[in-house]
Amino acid sequence: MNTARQKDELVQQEWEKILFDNLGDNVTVPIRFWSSKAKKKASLKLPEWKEISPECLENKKNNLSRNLVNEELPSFLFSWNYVHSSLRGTSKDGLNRLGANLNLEDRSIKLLKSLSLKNRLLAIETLGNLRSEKAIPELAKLAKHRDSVVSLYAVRSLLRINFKVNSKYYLPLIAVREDWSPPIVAQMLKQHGADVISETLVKLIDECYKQKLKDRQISRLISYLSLAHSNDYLKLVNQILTESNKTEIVIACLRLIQTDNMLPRVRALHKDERWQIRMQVVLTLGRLGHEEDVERLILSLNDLDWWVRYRSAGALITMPTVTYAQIELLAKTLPNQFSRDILNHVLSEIRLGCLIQPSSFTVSK
Amino acid sequence: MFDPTFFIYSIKIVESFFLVYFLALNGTYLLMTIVSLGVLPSYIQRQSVHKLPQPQTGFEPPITLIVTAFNEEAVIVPSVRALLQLEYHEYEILIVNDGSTDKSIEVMTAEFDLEIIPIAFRQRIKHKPVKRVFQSRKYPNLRVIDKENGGSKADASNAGINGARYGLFMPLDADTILERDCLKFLIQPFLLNPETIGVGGNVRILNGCKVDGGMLSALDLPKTWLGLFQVLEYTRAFLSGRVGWNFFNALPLISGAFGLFNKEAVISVGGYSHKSLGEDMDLVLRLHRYCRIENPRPYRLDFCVDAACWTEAPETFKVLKKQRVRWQRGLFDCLWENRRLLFHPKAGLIGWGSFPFLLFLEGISPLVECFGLLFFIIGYSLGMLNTDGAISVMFLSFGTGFLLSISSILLEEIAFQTYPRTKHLWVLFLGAFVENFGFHQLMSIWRLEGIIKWLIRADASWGAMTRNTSWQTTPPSTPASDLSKLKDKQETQGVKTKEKQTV
Repeated sequence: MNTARQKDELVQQEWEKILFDNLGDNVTVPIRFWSSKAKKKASLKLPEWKEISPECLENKKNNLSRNLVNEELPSFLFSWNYVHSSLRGTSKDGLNRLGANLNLEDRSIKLLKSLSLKNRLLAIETLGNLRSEKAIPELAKLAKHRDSVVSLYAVRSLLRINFKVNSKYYLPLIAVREDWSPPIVAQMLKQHGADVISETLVKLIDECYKQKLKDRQISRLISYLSLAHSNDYLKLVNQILTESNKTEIVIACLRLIQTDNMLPRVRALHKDERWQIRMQVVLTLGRLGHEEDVERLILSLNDLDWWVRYRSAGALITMPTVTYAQIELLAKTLPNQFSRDILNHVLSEIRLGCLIQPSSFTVSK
Repeated sequence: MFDPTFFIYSIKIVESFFLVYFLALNGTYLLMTIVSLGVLPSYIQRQSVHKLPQPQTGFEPPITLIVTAFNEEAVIVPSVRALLQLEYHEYEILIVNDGSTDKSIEVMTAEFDLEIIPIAFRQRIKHKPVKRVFQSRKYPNLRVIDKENGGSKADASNAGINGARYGLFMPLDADTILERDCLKFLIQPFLLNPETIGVGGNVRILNGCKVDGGMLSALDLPKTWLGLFQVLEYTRAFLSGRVGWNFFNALPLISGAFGLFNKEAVISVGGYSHKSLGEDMDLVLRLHRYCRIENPRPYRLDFCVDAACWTEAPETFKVLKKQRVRWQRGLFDCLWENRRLLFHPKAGLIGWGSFPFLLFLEGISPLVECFGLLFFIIGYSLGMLNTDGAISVMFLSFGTGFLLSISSILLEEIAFQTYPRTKHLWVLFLGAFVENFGFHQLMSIWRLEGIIKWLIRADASWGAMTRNTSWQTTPPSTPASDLSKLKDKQETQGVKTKEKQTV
């Protein structure tokens, strides 16, 4: 009886293997009915992989007690990458040793040719985390893939493997690929740290600005500068802010201003006809915190646009030379009802700790 | 003189009409299902990498969740608690209390430590006056707008849009249970395509499931046939219909229960319409109209199938009937208001594909089905019908309906395997078969009533949706009798907080 059952299970697993290998995950239904037991067994393996991780991290175990079969590879890779993404610094070494012992590098390179997109993405991510030099030619092909997720993850892996070399060829793609998700691009840049990316990023943006790419592309690139050292980008930002009058670009530059060098230009934009620019100007003035700008901010409490008034009130309250008592007095004595209302509004939000902070990313209008 | 030739000829014409109509309707459904079968697997696989942990960068756009509530005392607290647990870096919850006559405000005040704050309210789209705005002392991202009753969800949603502080907003019903990571998925189309102005998510049926602490804790199918049939309907509508139309960039509807919109785009079309009973579809059609005809520009209305929310479906005939009549009237309201889209040269596939489908096929389907049934009965009793042919068409119709339902279950299995037990699938298959006998016909009759009421402009109202809330395993809210005690406690806490802040 038992032998017959085992035989059945083996046949079911064989079927599962054939179907998965040839058709990816798209045949789950027949499998589910045909081999529910085998399916349950496969799904139970995931926690097992998760239990392995702490031991690997503590260097107690560098290999598995048994071989990793191909069917298990995707779920194992998912768990492996999951733990990898959750760790920082040298704590990843144990996982990488386990990866090397299981020959994940070669197996992932093979998996790059899988029909299943999920498997290919997992392989790309694994190769990046393993810093696999061997995989560079394969990943380079995928970097220009038309699928935004595949190409972005391939470039991310290439930069992880060797930022210095690969950034020359693949970082410029962040300027042209508008379909790449900005948070993932930002993560990609952030993980290398400002010391590594600053110079390359500033150079790239300078070149793109000269090439006159679309406003949206330039402004998006400029926003990535917030991840670099301000000393490196300040000169370029000042130059762009002086030369450009495009709304999106001016806004992106204003967000990055940290020093007084551009104060005259910022003040000149205080009466700009575009409310989005006026709003960024009051935020910048608040950040720079000069006493002579207090009058400008009070004036902006009277602005026609709600957001300019709201941000002016927030900026005014953060000015180092203005006391809380002065703000309260202003909220009672200002001649304009709008100004008084917005000050009271912001004062109560600050009291309850719910004043919203400006976002570094804006969605399209 | 009675001319039998003419009569027989007329019957033949009617028969041919039914056949053509049947082929067109089911052909479109089948096309959408085939498209979904082609698109969905790779889409789901692409999205799988987003399940890996992603560190936050500050580049993720913040979102306002607008929860409209009218007499939702029973469900509002667990719903908000669930929303507070969502996995997203920056979002605010804005509850719009639409003049509730129950103790919604008191319950929320006690639970979330609300305080009235002086707000410079910015009214960019019209709605009934706002009475007061509350801010939670416990949760900086939770606010409540208390307004006069506007008689429609549209009015409350518009107040929410005006009060939203972020560029993207998500309208929600108070009884909607979101999956914890749904925002992470729903935001993707906005990040991948800057021209995206709206994204819809997948709505699932909550009946039969268990909810613990405002989050889904156990999955199961509804215990009643009505609930089960609605699971099938939702699966068909979302996994076949929406995915299919989305592939052609002609999505006619983003559900009012679960969608994410660009606030400026919605304000530019005047927000939700007070007139329409189907305000969610009306908004989407107006956005299409605005971006294609009135102010042509590139835009995208997308559907994100892996972002899911769960909502309670009516399980009594009375409430279900009310809902279906309202939906049908809403459909015709929307189509009539946006008739300019129909076959407009600039309207693209929305004007030449999904809009005509909604009007000529899906919209009038109850009329055709009821008339067909009547025609069959009369024709059969008079012995003037090609009985074999009519029975064949009828069986074909049932068979196609069954096939479409099975395809949707298959899509569900490929993409999500939502229901964990194999037994669930057998129950769904059984439901897909049984719904053809009675349920479909009943829906057609109710929808026909909706068409008639729309034509005669009968009084329209939302009516009260009776909530069962049997899915809640934790107490829904603080009992009213305990409110006074809690109020006292809250007042004491309020004084303490104030003292602390003064110091």
